[in-house]
Amino acid sequence: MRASTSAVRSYRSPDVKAYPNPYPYPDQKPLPTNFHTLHISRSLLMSDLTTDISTDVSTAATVETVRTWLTERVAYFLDVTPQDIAHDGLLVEIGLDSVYALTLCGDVEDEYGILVEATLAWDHPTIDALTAHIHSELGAR
Amino acid sequence: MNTTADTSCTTADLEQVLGDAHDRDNPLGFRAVLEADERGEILPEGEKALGSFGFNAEFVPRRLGGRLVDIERLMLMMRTLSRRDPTLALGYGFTSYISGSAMWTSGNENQQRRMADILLGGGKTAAGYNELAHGNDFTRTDLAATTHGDRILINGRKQIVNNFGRADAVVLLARTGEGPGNRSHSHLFVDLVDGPADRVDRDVRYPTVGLRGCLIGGAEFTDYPVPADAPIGPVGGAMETVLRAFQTTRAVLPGMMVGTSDTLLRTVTRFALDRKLYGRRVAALPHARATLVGAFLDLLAGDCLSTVACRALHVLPGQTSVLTAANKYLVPKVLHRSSHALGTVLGANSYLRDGTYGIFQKFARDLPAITFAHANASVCQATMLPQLPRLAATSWLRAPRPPKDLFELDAPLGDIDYGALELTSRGADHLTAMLSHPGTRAQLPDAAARLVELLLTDLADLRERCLALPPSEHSVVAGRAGFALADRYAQLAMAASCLGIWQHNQHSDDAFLREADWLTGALHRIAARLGHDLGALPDSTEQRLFDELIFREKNHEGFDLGRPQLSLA
Ligand SMILES: Cc1cc2nc3c(=O)[nH]c(=O)nc-3n(C[C@H](O)[C@H](O)[C@H](O)COP(=O)(O)OP(=O)(O)OC[C@H]3O[C@@H](n4cnc5c(N)ncnc54)[C@H](O)[C@@H]3O)c2cc1C
Repeated sequence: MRASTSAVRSYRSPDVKAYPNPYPYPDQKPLPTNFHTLHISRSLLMSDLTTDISTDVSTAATVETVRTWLTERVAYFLDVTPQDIAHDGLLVEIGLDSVYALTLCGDVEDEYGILVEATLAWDHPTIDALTAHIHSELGAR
Repeated sequence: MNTTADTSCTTADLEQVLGDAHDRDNPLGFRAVLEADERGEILPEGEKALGSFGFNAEFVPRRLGGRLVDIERLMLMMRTLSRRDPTLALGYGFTSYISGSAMWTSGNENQQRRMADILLGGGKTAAGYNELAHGNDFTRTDLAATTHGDRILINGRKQIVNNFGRADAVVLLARTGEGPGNRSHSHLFVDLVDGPADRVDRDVRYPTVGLRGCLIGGAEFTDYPVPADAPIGPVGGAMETVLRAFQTTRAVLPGMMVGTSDTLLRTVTRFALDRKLYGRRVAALPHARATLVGAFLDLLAGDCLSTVACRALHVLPGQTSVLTAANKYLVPKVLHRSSHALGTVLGANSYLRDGTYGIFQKFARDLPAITFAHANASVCQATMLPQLPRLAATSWLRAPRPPKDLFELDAPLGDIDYGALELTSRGADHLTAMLSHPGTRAQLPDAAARLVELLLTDLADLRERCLALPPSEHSVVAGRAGFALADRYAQLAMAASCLGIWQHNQHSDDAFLREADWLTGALHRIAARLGHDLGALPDSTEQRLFDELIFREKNHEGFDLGRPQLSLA
């Protein structure tokens, strides 16, 4: 649906347009120009709320499945294959920076449904150490 | 120790102390401020006056005898100062609070009392983080602290550190372990008065473009001994402390700079009223008017986001890791842009170093320092970015609305609890629910409601894009697309803040705040920055905003949300 924008334009104030979107999406879609008549349907609000939360796999988690999942996660982040990740290597040395180390806790929480410290990967700095910690947390529930 | 500190000192009292800015005989007025800047000095009378005011108490929690209660109060105090002179605000200085924030977050009782005593006694503490070789990359910090028997020896350098040369103590970020990891650094509390002066060289001063009076220095330590109890918090815990403490400084600095923008806007407004061209006042020229109104709206929107960021530290302390980064990213950027636009109206006068409008060029030089000092814009974007996918999945379009205390300007906040601040938001983001909640939109006048609907489609779009973001795009090496998402998120957080402030202050006795013109205008500008082609503001809205601007200038009121009364001789 495309409506004319003439109703809302007067161009009397070039200032408003003086600084166009500083960081346009590289693939920016045309945005709705009919904002005066646009209505948000409830379906937009409520549909498509897919979540990334997996079904609860924690009961089945063994040291091996935790290790495999973690290795895949880290490999995915670093854009390498899981075989490239040494389980006893320091994550910061293989390129996992401090910010991602913080978000890894979110991945763990979503995957296993447990709450972990944000600093998880700082205190357990290898795949093996993380695996042991997560596995024991799962057992402690 | 006095535990019932007097927090009755208000921003109005401080404004009173500063006196009439435009009075040429006021030793704390703009004329004196400009002269001090020309000399490369912090206004000496200003430092004296703040000393008598006991301004340092604003940096010290009440529990320790100071006047620091909530972070919004600290921000408004700093704003009052930076409306008069940003150099004084930083130079007197705010870095005492930056170092204090690490101490109040992680120091033990004994250390906290020592630092409080220094500050309440009128001393200064420096925040020793930056090393020229590493900049924002804290985890590569080199200055080393090594244990030798019952002492710790410090070796290495810190550079571009405010007040280092005259500080009584410094909070140092030091390496206490090997490697670039996050457990290799600690904060040390270092006494510079009683320690051996021959083991530290702090004679250097770095001249700067703006904030020229500030004593930006550095230090080189050689086997400088400190006692074994110098580390603040657990050894190796510095990064955690930083991630908590700096949420408060990232909340305050942008809100403080709103005061600087107030003076820039006021200067150009006065110019536009005074100067006549083509037989009319500059203020009557459409472009000039639109620019002034735009700057007024940016200032109000910047105040909304920075006020909400400060209040969130109390009301939603689990969610501020992202919000304070958004604040530190976007508000300085918006204010900086508007200072450029204002400069075009002032024309040649924006370039003159003295005279009636000379203060403009000084403030315009001072302002950008806040964009890159203490976590620059890209660092703040990189802080938001990795958390956005989880916010998208967990909160956007579905989270509950935040409590009204987040926005109600007269709702008390209580004392800041540094321990309640979280390193990540765990996906929680209630602020943006202001955009998606139908109840909020139902109360809006048509023009604003349409803009909110537009912004809501942006949030939905952003949500999809963030959910689809590969993890390799979450980190500092993210491409432009990733950084664009962080920018758009910050714009939407600003819009949500404006909406919340408007909705939850309908009980205010300020009719302007209750009316929706400023809200419509502020949202309009945000939508324009998001790439929507909306053209100009409706005439009636622009007129109302322009009238308000002129009214406030004539009546000596601040342009921010609280419209404080400014001193008059
Ligand atoms: C007036 C003033 C006062 C100051 N006072 C103090 C003080 O009291 N104490 C103190 O310790 N320091 C102080 N500083 C130093 C200040 O903190 C540093 O400027 C700051 O750490 C940024 O470092 P940098 O500018 O060297 O940028 P760099 O870290 O060298 O960054 C350069 C560029 O790299 C990019 N970049 C860097 N990191 C990231 C990231 N994580 N993600 C994406 N891009 C990134 C950005 O584009 C950035 O602009 C002060 C600075 C000024 C100007």
